[in-house]
This record gives sequence, structure tokens and C-alpha cells, in this order.
Amino acid sequence: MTSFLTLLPQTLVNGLTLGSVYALIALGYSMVYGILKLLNFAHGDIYMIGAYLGYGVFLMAFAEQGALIPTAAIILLMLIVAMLGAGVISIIVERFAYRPLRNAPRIAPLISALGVSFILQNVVQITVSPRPLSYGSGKLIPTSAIFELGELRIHASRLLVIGITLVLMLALTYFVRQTRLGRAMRAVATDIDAAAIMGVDVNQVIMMTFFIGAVLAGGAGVLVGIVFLSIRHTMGFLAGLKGFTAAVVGGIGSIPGAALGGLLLGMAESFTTVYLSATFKDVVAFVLLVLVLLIRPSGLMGKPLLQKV
Amino acid sequence: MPADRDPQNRDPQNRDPQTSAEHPGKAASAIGTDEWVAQVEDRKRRRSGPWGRLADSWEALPATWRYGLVVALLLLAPLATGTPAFLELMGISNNAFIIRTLTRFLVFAMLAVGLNVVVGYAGLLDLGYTAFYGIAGYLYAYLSSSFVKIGGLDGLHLPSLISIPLIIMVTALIGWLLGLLSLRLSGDYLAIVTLGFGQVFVQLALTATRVKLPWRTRPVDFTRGPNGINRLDDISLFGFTLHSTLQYYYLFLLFLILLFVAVHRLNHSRIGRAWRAIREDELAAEVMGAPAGRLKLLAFAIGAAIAALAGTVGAAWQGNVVPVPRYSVLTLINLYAMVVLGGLGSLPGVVLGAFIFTVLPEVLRSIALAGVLFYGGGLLGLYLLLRPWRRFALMLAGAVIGGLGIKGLAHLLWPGLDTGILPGSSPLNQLVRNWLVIPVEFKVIGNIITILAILLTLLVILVRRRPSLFYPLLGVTIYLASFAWETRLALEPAATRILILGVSLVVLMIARPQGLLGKAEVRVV
Repeated sequence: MTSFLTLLPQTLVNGLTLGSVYALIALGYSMVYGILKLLNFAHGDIYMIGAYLGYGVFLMAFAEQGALIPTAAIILLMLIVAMLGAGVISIIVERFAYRPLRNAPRIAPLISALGVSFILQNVVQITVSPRPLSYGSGKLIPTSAIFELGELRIHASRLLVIGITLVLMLALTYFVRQTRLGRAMRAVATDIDAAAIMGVDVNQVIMMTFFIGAVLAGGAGVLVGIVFLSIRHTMGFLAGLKGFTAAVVGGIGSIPGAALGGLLLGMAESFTTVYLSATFKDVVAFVLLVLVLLIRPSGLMGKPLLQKV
Repeated sequence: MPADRDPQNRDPQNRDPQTSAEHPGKAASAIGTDEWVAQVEDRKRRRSGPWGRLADSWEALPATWRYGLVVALLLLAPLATGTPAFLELMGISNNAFIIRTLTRFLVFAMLAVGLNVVVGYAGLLDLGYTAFYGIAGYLYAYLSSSFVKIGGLDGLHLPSLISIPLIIMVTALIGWLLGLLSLRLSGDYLAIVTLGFGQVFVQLALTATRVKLPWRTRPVDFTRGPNGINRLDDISLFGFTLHSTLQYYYLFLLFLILLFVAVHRLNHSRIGRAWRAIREDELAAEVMGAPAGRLKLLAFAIGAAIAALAGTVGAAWQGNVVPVPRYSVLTLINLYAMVVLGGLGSLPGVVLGAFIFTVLPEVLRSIALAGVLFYGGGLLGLYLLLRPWRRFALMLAGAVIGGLGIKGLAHLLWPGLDTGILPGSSPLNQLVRNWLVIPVEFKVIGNIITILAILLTLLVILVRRRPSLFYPLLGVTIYLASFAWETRLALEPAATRILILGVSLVVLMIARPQGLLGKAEVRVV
């Protein structure tokens, strides 16, 4: 029992870190699904693109003798470039792969999304590298930057992930609640046709939704690179799957739900890894999903679906 | 074949008796210009060009002939590809590889037919389908190899006539159980839960190697992890044991034909009609008295049973079971691509989809062939895009002359630039390289040009209505795309293969969301 208690705080911090990343990915899934009812399978790969764009900035910022500008500025720059770049790519993807299919049968955009996922992964594999790349251990944040609270040792990078996720979520909440475009977004999510009739530019709103979702995912990509160091062109698939699971657990279409689902999933994985076995962590994610859906078919914070006849 | 009652087939006589009655050849009662008006629908359906005429005459054949021809082709394929003339044409020493590919096609075709029942007929988005394929494979491995050692027994080694039906029944039961979820979840929620089921299966297959059981002291290895279980027994029916891939090929072909007929008949029974009804509108179907719950469970069970058949015989043919990639999400994506590409709900369509998606990647494996496909596909696309053909010829001439001009300029201004040496030397490569400037550092530049070419292609699509931008940009894109192909894509065949697959998926979905042989969905607004 003592080992249970001593491991507990560390497990919580790990779960929080992982959960933050899942939540950021889940938000993009959830927002797009809320509006278009589209499972954007390429979303995980947008997150991967973010990680690679961050890596590009990282390479440029470090010369032979070390960092050219303060590391805080580098991290900020990495985040900005990755977020904007991922956002732009996501807009391109929406314009060319999803918009022509907006009135097609439900499964067509799904397959198109799979195609986009293949394209993004393999373009990165061909033009960058098929091997895993590293953000360089200790280069951005020294390995000695550890906060100690009694037994608990938290590396600064984990705090950074949790902090940035919090900032991004607050910004998103403000955007959706308070701004004109956010209101338009909610309107389109509620009823796309009615919103169009009321003068909302639906295409623009959908574009912005893809952009914002991708911005969050791109940020998550860089954060993952900073904490776990290694990035790979195939990293998007499983992360996307987890992000989507988190979105569904939380109640798809609901922004606080996505955050909650991500956190829950991160915690579940972290606890399974520590107390059960690392090999079962992926299984646990889906067991959690099935359980939640059987008890609450529309997710924890989702509204029950009303069937229109 | 019962196929002449198939509503999917485009046989004009079956499909639309009214218009064929108004066909000029048959109707002597045509009245003046109204005849022309009356044939509008008929004319719209007729396709132009040599391909269209070919497709029309193919569809004019009676269904039995068409199916008979396809079956005859499949029967003869192993023999035909083994003839010296064919081998010489392809430049290979024997056709073992071709037969293997065709056999894999048959396995995938069986799987696609099963998936078509669940997704195409009943409209249930089952993303855990490959798990049934895998479960059946592992069950066969337990029953028909030396893996299970209980009480001094060296494996069970059940005869195939017992093991295959047993596995099919057990897997169908599991499918029925998973189907219970579908009663409570709908649409995308069902999709994600079944996807989870598939993932759990793969994860367990990978990791259940040291499971502690309460009544055993030592942990038990259930799956041998990523290595999988090997040395499975061959299938043995009525005293005859199959050995070669060729024998499996003919057995699978028989299975596929039986499955095809069975599923076709099922689709045209009460059950099939009820499935389509709940697919289109569950509530309405239930109101009309279709037991939606039981029908969904049945669809899941039948889909699982068909996957189990493919899984069992597939594992026996391969002689082993390996969790990744055979039973992983990659296979699932492939299967969905086949089914959707071919046309959901159309049996010939999904088989065609399976054929394209098993054969095309193998063709792309050969770089020379992939090059032919790339340039040929590109030229064909341009030809279709730029009509009349004079425009196409002008564009092509412009691109060639422009490219030669660039190459000449490069030689004049910077003689050291065009000195890169690319691997690969097919006649096509030689031809194209007379036109491209290949710098020494072609790899680095090629990476940038590849991304640039992709973005330019998208830009060209955007400005297609503005000739002053469109034509110059298109010329530049052609040049850069050829450069990207020669310097990067052709040198990374594994990734390029999947890249081309991805591009073709997106393009096909946009061009024909209902798939090649599927029918466009009728929407009631």
C-alpha cells in the first residue's frame, strides 16, 4: 500500500500531462464533428504536422554553439509557427478534400479523410525523414529543471504543457463565448441551414473551425515533442484515435466535455501504466469508452440526441 | 447465376422498361421530333468515347454472360500468367508472385463481401470488422497447430471439416454479442466503439504473452505476441490436403463464388429488403414492422461469419497468424477503401474494389511500372482536362519547349548545375531526364520541390477558371511535378505507393462519392 501512495502524485501529474495533450486534440475533433458530423481522421496527422513544424523551428534556432535566442523565445516561436502552419494546412485540407463532399453520403468524407491522412504521413516521410526525430534532450529545457514538492518531482516541461493547455482552453472558451465568430460557430453547430438563412457565412465559419481545431492540435504536437522528445511521421494515428475517444467520452460537440474526456483518458492510461501494466494502457482507453457510452450514450457532457422525424 | 434480377446491374432492359420501349430500334411508332425528346434519358445514359462505348457494350451483355466471363477469366488467370509469352512480357521468371497476389485478392474479396453486408446493406458502421478476421485466424491456429499443448497432447490438429464450421459459428456468436452494442449506440458512436473492439483485439494479441491464471503457477502465453503463431496445418477436405498456393487459389475462388451467390440471394430476400429499409430510415422501418434490433444482430453475425471464413482459410493458406499488420487498422482502412471505392451495397463493386486495392499496390511496387502509371495517368488527366485536344497538345508542347529552354539556359549560365546523377535508367527515365535540370544536391531540392508541386497543383485547381493564370501555372506544375517524381517520389517507392493510394482515394470520393459501381444515393429533402 505504501508503494501505491508514493506513486500516486507522480501518476497524477503524468496523467494530467497526457490528458492535456489528448484534450487539445479532442477539441479539434469535437468542434469539427459538432458542425459537420464528420469524423476528421486526418486530425491526428495535423497534430503530427505541428510537431514537425516545431522541429523545423527548433533546427533553425540552434546553431553549432547553442541557442541563437533565449530558449523561452524559441519555444514560443515553435508553438506559434506550428499552430499557424497546422491551421493553414487544415484549411487547405478542408477546402480541397472535404468541401466538395459536403453533400455526399456520410461515408465519402470519411474515406477522403483517410486519404488525406495517408497523403500527409507519406509526404512527411518522403520529404523529411522516415526515422523518428528528437527535440534534443535537455536542449530546450534543461533536464535539471525539476520542481520538488516533498516526494513529488515535476519536470518543468510537464508544467509547461499543463500551463499552455490551460491558456489555450481559456482562450478558446473566450473565443467561442464572447466573439462574433464564436457566436456564428455555435449557431452553425446548432443548425447549419438556419444559420445560413440568418446571414452567417457558413463556409467561413467551417474554415475557422478547422483552423482553430488545427491550431490546438499543432500546439499539442509541439508540446508532445517537448515532453516526450521523440516525434515520428506515424505518431498522428494513435494520438488521433485517442483524441477522438476522449471527445466521445466527454460528449462530442461539447468543448468542456472534450477537455474532461481528455483528462479522464490521460488519467486512466497513466494509472494503468503505473499500477497494472504498460501493455494494457491502450485496452483500458477503449474499455473506458465502451463503459461510458453504455451508461451515457451521448458522452459525459453531451446533450442527448433528439431524433428528428 | 441469379444475377439477372440484380437491381444494381445496368442492363437497360431490366432497369428501365419504359425508356427501352422508346428505343428507336424497337419502337416503330415514333412520332416526329418527339422521338428525340423521348430518348433524352437514354442519350444521357449513353457514354461517349471509346471507354464509354466499351462500358455500354459490356453492360448490354446478359448478366449470366458477364459473370461467366469474369469467372472464366479468374479460372484461367493462373494458367495464362504462367505462359512463357506473358512471363517474357513482364520480365519475370515465374508467376508465383502473381498467383499469390491473386489469392490475396480472393481473401480480401471474401472479406469485402462480408463487410458489404454489415455496412452496405444494414448500414452499420462496423470498424471492428478486422477483429473477426483475426479472431478466426487465431482460433484456427489454436485448433490446427501444435500450439495448444494440454495433457501431453501435441496440439489439437482438428480436421478442417470440423474446425472451419466450428470457428465460423463461434465468431458469428462473438459478432452477435458485439452487435448487442449496436442496439444501444447509433451511427458514429457505434463506429468508435467497434473501432475500440478491434484495437483491443490487436493489443491483446500483441501483449497477452504472460497472463497469470489462478489455477496455473506459471504465466500462460496465449498469442506469442508480435511474432504470432506459425506452422498451421493446411486445409484438408475429404482426404485431400491442399499444399500449393494454386490449390488454395481455386478453393478460395469456389468459396468466393458460393459466398457471392449466397449474399446476393440474401440481399434479395425479405431480410435484405428489411436491412435496406432500416439503413435508410430505422424509425420508419420499425413502424412498418421490421424487427430492427434482430436484423442488426443478424447483420453483425453474418458479417462476422464471413470474416471468419476468410480468416480461417486465409490463415491456413498463409500458414501463420501475425497480429500486425494483418489484423490491424491498416487492413481495416484498406477494406473500407475497397468497399467504398467499389460502391457500397454493390456486390460486383466491392469485389472490383478488392481487386483494385490488392493488385494496384503490387503494380506500384515496381518503379518502372509506377513511372508509367504516373506519367500515363498525368497525361490522361491533362487530356481529359484540356479539351479540345489542340489545347492539350499546345500545353504539352509548351511544357516541353519551356523545360528544354530552362535546361539550355542552365547549361549556358551555370554549367555545373545540371550534373546530378539519378539512379534508375528505364527508357522513360532517360526520356524525362533530357528535359529536367538535375542538380547534384537533388535530394534536398527535390524535397522542397515536392511540397511546392503539391501546393501548386492545388493552386491550379483553384484558378482553373482564369486562363491567364491557369495555363502558365499548369505548365510550371507539370515541370515541377516531373522533377519531384524523378528526384524524390520514384526513389521512395514504399511511401509513394501509399501516397498515390491516398490521392486516388480523395480524388475518387470527390469524383464519384458512391464508388465505381455503386448507385448514387437518392435523397429526400
